Amino acid sequence: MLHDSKSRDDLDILKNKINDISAFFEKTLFSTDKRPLVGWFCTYTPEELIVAGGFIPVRIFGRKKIIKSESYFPINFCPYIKSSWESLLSGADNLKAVIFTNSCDGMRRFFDTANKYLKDTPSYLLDVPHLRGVDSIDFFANNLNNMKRFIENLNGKKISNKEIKNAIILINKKRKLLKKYSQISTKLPELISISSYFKVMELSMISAPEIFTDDLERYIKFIREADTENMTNLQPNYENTPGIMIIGNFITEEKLWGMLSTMNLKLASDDLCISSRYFEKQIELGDDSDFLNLTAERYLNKPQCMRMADLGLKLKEIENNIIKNNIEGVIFISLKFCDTMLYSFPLLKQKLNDLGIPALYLEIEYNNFSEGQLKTRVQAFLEML
Amino acid sequence: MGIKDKLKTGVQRNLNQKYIRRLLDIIAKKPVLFAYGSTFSSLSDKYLNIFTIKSLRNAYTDNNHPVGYGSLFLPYEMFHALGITPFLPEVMAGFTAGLGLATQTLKEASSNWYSQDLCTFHRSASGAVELDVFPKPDFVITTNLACDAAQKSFYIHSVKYNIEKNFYLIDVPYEYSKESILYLTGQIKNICMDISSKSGIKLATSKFKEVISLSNEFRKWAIKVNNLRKTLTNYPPYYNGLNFILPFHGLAGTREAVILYNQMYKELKKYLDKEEKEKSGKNKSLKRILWLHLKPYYKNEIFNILERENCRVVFEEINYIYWPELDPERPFESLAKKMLSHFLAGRIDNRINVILKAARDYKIDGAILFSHWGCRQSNGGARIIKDSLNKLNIPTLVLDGDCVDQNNSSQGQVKTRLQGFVEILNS
Amino acid sequence: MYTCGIDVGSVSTKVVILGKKDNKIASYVIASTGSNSKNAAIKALDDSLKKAGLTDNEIEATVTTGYGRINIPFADQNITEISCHARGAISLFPDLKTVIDIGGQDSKVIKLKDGKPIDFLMNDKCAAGTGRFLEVMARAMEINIEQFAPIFIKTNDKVDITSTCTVFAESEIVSLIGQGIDKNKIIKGLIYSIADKITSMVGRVGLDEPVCMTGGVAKNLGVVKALEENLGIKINIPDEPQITGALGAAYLAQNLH
Repeated sequence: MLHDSKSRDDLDILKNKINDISAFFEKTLFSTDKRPLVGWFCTYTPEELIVAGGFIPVRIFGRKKIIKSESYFPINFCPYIKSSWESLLSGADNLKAVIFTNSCDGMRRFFDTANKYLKDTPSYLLDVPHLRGVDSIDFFANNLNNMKRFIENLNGKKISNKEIKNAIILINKKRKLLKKYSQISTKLPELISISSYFKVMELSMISAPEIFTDDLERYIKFIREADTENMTNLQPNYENTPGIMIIGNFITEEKLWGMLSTMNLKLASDDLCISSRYFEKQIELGDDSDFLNLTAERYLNKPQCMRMADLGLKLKEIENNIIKNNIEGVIFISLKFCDTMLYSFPLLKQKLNDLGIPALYLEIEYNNFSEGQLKTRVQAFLEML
Repeated sequence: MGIKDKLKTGVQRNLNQKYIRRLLDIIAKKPVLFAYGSTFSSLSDKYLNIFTIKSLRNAYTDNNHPVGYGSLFLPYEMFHALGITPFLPEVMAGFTAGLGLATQTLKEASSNWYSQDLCTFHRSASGAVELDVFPKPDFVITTNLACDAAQKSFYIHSVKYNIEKNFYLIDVPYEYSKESILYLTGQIKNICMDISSKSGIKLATSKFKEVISLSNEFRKWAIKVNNLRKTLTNYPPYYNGLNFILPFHGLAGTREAVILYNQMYKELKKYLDKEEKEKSGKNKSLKRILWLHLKPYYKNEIFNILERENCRVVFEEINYIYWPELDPERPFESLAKKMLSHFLAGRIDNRINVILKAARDYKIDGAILFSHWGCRQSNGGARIIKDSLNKLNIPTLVLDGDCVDQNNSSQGQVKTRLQGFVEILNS
Repeated sequence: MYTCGIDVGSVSTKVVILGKKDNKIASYVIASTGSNSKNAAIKALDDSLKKAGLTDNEIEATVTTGYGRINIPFADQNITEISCHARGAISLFPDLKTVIDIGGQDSKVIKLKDGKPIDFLMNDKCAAGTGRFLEVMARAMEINIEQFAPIFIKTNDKVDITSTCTVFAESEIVSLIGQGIDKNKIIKGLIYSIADKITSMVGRVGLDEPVCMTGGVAKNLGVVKALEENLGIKINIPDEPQITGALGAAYLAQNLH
């Protein structure tokens, strides 16, 4: 489809505007919210309880060059943990407390290390079951109650049922908006770059949820209006682009997203803990007022991390996703030394072979990869499709 | 060529199930097995090898007993109560190293997309499954206790054999608490019931009681062994406390484990008595070493070097009896408590406590933590372990290496590190 | 009488002949090890004797160290680099608490108490953080390794070298050069990358001052400066850092008879 240069220019202007995330999220970025921060790592940590306790939940992204923390962990150890530990050691995050989970061997040892060497910041480990039956939900709900007590002790204030309910409503709203935003960006790759998408995801995990949801709501409204006014049918570049799905763990490589944004690639779906595994599935508020149980139910039944017991179910989740979203290629990208992730690949590869979906396998260090090498691989993979 | 070398080259040349089965059939026959047993210079080793062969033969032979793959740290009492023959792929991975097969199995795993960074115990076992040299399981049971790797690799095994429905994960909670015991007891009970109904083998209370009592008896002898090792310095030739993983875990609840640990006690007691009689023979400059984690299971020089340098491993943390006596009247709950008591569950403090207790009990001069490549749970705590031992002025060597893949470290580097460490102990 | 210390390293063989009464170095030799470590040791010893004007009868005891320490027939004893470097460094700086030795294929950090080693750490199996790393990179850039230090000092800016693996770092550098990035900045980045690696090793053992650096790489003032900056301390460098291990071996030989 051809377009006159006028509408092309208009589109570029609009595109620049939409991808100027810091303008749309100014309030989020320059928040005046003075509530103390509680750090978290894993998407099995219920932010609801942190919010209910009067704190802002902040996911720790690390992003620090690994120097000091290298001497606490072996060479072949999760780079996300190392860089987060660097960040905790530097005290840069200014956290009131940190919540760990027993998501994996690495995290357990990370908690031990923080417990031993991080004197001023209290840390807590939330035990998350690996199974998801009724007994597991009960057990997890009990653990959530222990976590609640830890949070109450931070400021000596009891958390009421009402506060938990309000927090659930707030985080539900955030999840709903993120899902909406995710659907829109899948539909409008021409307008929303992959970099912008992940920037918004990151903001959702490190900001006061009230302010962030306000900003996101306005942002979505703007994109929708822009789309109906100007840009319907303006998807020529992406019409024949194959839909890609990214499967990975804690992948937050700005350089990678930047690179993918320039590669005419349609990110049609993902299975990442900084995206869908974070916002999919709500806490169903009904007549039941056992909020901890409802929370436990949501977290154990959300799209699961590879650390859960049932790899078969996980593969089924991925298969459904591939079929539903017409995925034509999968990029599997894992931080190095992530056992649970790496162990999922032999079976995933088989499944993808059965489905006839080509896969690109990448192992990377955290915020630390050689752009040239990666670009060649991704480009070759796209050419292959 | 001795019987052991013949075995080794035979399997290397004919790496297939049929050959292994035939070999086991021959060797498990009484006169041959007796002859095989007599090639070991220590009584403990003799019983270890005889019982291992018997157990393997059961797993490889088609009989009425279902075969269950199990990971380390499971309560194998449940296998024996259910009449399931246990097969331990991780221990078998150690055998692939000892028999010189690991290069083949690891290569096979790599070509099936197992990353090189994963633990070689699991990679080698997975390679062996891909090569179809392990017996076909009827059940696959695993746990997240200690590490993530088992629950993942074992699930893949169940898919390979098309028995995902017979895959069970025992989800061991992080902390020892009332709720955890309840949650775990329920799981173990449900799994036993499920397996019993699938296999058609009734889970008889009397049988379970008997198994639990045998497990307690094994435990009693193992404690006695550990106690006399507190003063023992002279060991039978080739005795190595890191070799008894199969009986310690897989045979818990059988008469074999009782016999083995009883014999081990008698054998070591003789050495101790002799030592006490010849007090002048006491080796005063001997350095007493505590060994942490496992060791390489291929031919290596580590223990010879230590021996030459007048160092002796006087205790291994894996032989610590971590669980309380089991209650035959409450088998499920007892097994849940056994799992929850493991020092690799939960916080690293549990492990540190065991290490520091052993350091005191065995009056150690130094500790060696064998840092098996890709073992996150153990190596991730190396710094804390080292700092804790250093507080007691006990030098600690973190020795990098690989238990299964001999190409993953250089003998020269290992030697220099060991020698340097000994020089520190002697200075 | 004299004692002799021979450090047979992967790249070079070092010999020190030490006076027993005066503890003075009678002579020393640094020669390339080549493919036969035994011959290299014999030849270096001969040269050293000649240089000192001594015959082998005047050598009371010989201790060998280094990776080739075991196969030297005329040695009275072999002792690891850990003890030898510690002993050598202590003879030069008596209050020393930490020795950082960066050799051709091994790097190590040794912690001392009352002049004796109490803990040590050696690099893992990879070559990052050893002299070999710098050599490979110098070759990839077609720059003489001696130029690294002056370039480091005169260059303000650096490019981060992200790959920790020697093989990947090499290809990363090739691609950086391909992008037209200033070689000096790359070199500065390389030196920091090796210094970072050593810094984390020091962290594992625990930093205690005074610190001394030995081994061939200690001659590279760029690495020393970067390391001093990282650790926030001043590092002592012997006049001839490369012979510290051999010197220590010669001292330890004094205890033999």
